[in-house]
Amino acid sequence: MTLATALPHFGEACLGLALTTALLAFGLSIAAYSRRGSDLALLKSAERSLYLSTATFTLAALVLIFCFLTDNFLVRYVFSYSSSAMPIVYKIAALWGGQEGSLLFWVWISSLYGALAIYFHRHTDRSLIPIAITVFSSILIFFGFLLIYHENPFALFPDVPHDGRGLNPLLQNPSMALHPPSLYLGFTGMSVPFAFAISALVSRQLDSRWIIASRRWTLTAWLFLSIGNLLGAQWAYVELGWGGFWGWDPVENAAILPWFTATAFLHSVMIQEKRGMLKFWNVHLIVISFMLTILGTYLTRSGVVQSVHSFARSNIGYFFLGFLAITLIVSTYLIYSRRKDLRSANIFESFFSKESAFVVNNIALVGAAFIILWCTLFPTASELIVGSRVIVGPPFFNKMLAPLGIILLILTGIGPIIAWRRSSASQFDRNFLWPIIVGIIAMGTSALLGITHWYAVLTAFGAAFVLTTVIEEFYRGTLSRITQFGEPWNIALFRASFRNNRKYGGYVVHVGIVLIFIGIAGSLYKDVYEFEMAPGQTVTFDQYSATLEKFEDRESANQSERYAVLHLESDDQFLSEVRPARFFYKNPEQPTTEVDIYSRWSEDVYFTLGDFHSETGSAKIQITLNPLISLLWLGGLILIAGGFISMLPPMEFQRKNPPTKREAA
Amino acid sequence: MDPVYLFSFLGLLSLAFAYIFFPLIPKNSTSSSQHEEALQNYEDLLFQKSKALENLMELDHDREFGKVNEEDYEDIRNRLLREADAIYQSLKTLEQNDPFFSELEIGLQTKRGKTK
Repeated sequence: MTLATALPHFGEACLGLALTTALLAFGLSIAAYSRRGSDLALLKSAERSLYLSTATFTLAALVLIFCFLTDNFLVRYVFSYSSSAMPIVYKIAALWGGQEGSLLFWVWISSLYGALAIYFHRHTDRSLIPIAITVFSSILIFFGFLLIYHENPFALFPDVPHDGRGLNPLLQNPSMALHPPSLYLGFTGMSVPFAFAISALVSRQLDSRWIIASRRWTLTAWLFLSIGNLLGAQWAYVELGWGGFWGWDPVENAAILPWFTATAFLHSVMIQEKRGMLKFWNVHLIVISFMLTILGTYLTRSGVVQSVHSFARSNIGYFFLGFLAITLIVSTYLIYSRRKDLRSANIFESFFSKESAFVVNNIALVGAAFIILWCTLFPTASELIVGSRVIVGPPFFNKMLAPLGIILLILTGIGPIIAWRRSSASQFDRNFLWPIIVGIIAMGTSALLGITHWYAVLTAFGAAFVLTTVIEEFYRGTLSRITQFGEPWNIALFRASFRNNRKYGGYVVHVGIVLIFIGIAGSLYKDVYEFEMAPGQTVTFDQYSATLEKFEDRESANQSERYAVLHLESDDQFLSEVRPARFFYKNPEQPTTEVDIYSRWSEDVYFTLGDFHSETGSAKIQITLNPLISLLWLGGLILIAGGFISMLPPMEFQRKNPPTKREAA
Repeated sequence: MDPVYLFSFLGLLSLAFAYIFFPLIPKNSTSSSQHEEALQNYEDLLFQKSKALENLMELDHDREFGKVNEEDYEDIRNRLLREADAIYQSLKTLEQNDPFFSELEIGLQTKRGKTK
């Protein structure tokens, strides 16, 4: 037996051991819980089983990566998604390029999350640990069974094929090397708050403990979901060549759904922490978020929805549906049997309070998630009921979600400037005056600039309103420290922000959201031009002119490339050379469109090379002007930075000792 | 399957089971579940205490930033102070009445004495 044949067997053995130890963790954790945690030895054994399961899933994943790196085409999965000419980075990315590898990757990250969560909380939250292990191990058992009995990534060919089929060329993009891992880290990360929530429900410890235990994990999952969705939008923008970034494709929708509910949770959990309210709602949000991650995986993997992103399909959908049904039944039973323990400790005192703003924010976020879910599943539901697939297109999504988006944007500004419990009308005027004035000025300015679409006008108002409230909050926080401690403004700003980084990090996230909204509003004014161009020909559009200099052909081991070399000018000033291209991949045989973008803060000039006509020596070139899209990407980066700031532990700053008399002299 | 691989696998499996079940080997240790429960109640009260203090500080900030008027401020502050006092009393009762905390205190004093 050679290493090439031994390694896949070793990988399979690892999967078998991982499943066995996950089953042991499940049994031992239940035994430990049934003895009310008094048997610490049982609990320790359960923890060890989970760690070992994680270690063996990790080994299995590493073995598969090694098989990719060594072009071990004896392994069916490696043959299907890799080829010897592929760059190393895509050989690693091929791990999640197909069904079996994706599932292995999913369970691997999930096991890592579980092991880390148990390790870090084993002393501080011991009473939550037994059932948390049961939940984590249940997830591992489900995926372990799928991998071993249905989607074995280590299945072998009887003879070694000469070369593999290669990864889908659309996935051979830097964003795609990072987008799926980020999304998976977000999806699987939701299992940690879910495990703690279920554990709290089972053990009836529904005080703040599970909230504290899971807070940072939820934020981590939310952050990775944000990164994953942004990278997905970036990939769609640069790889699919249609000039847009979000097409309301079912798989895109599946990825954004848990983001909405997790965002709602991150807001409503503050009400539970501060006021002991919304306990019932919060456990629902966590269960729904976790189920949406499983639903997302189901939609991507089962093929029940038609999507440009469904790169892997099989009949594992029924298993996912079964898993979803079990999760739903168990969670519903637990929540409703514990509803008395989930009663609020306080009541809403006024409509004009932060709590009320957060509740409206939750309704809007969950409402948006529900609309997206309904519109995503509608084609499948209509096919089941009436026999024909009724497609819900992007215009319908936009029409339904735009008003909710505006409400959410304005709430982003209202939340920070009103107090907990109640705000009086007079104080209301004082805090809202400037943001409203600045908002109206922004609205007027946008109207003067010819912006008349209601969504864009209201976005201008909302964006200015929110930015003013954020600036006000930073200003007041800084001023307070300057007055109290006499610190210089820059130190005061830093200390005010990082002493309460959860709050101020949240404000930074709000700035990111505002910029994303502006970027989306800009897409309403997108212009598309199509030209049939031959070398030497010049075309003009908007304030630009473009001259096609030549077509250029290149050959590499994996693909043939044809570039259109254009010179872009504005007001007779040379701006840039742009090189949109068409790649023709050899293995697998597939063409792709490689766009080129001339980017400035006010707009992107987006070039797509279409079909080449050899008889005329010309090609179709599509040019799209995307106003303000750079703000969308910048907003995404700011949102991620804000998320990181919120995750940091609060910093304590010592007051400087007052200067001695001698120093003062 | 090659016997060498089979035995290697069985060997690894035995090691894995030994690692998992080693904590189940009986040892002379006492159960600490009661202590754990007391500690967790204590931690929960400490969390509530920190939240109560945070709420009071935030209320002061809200007043400073003009988000609440004087009348509401006084009313809410008094309520928060009463809540904080109740938490403080519960903490005190737990520390005084739970034998775990008295044992812990004696242990700490002994340790301090030894260090001195």
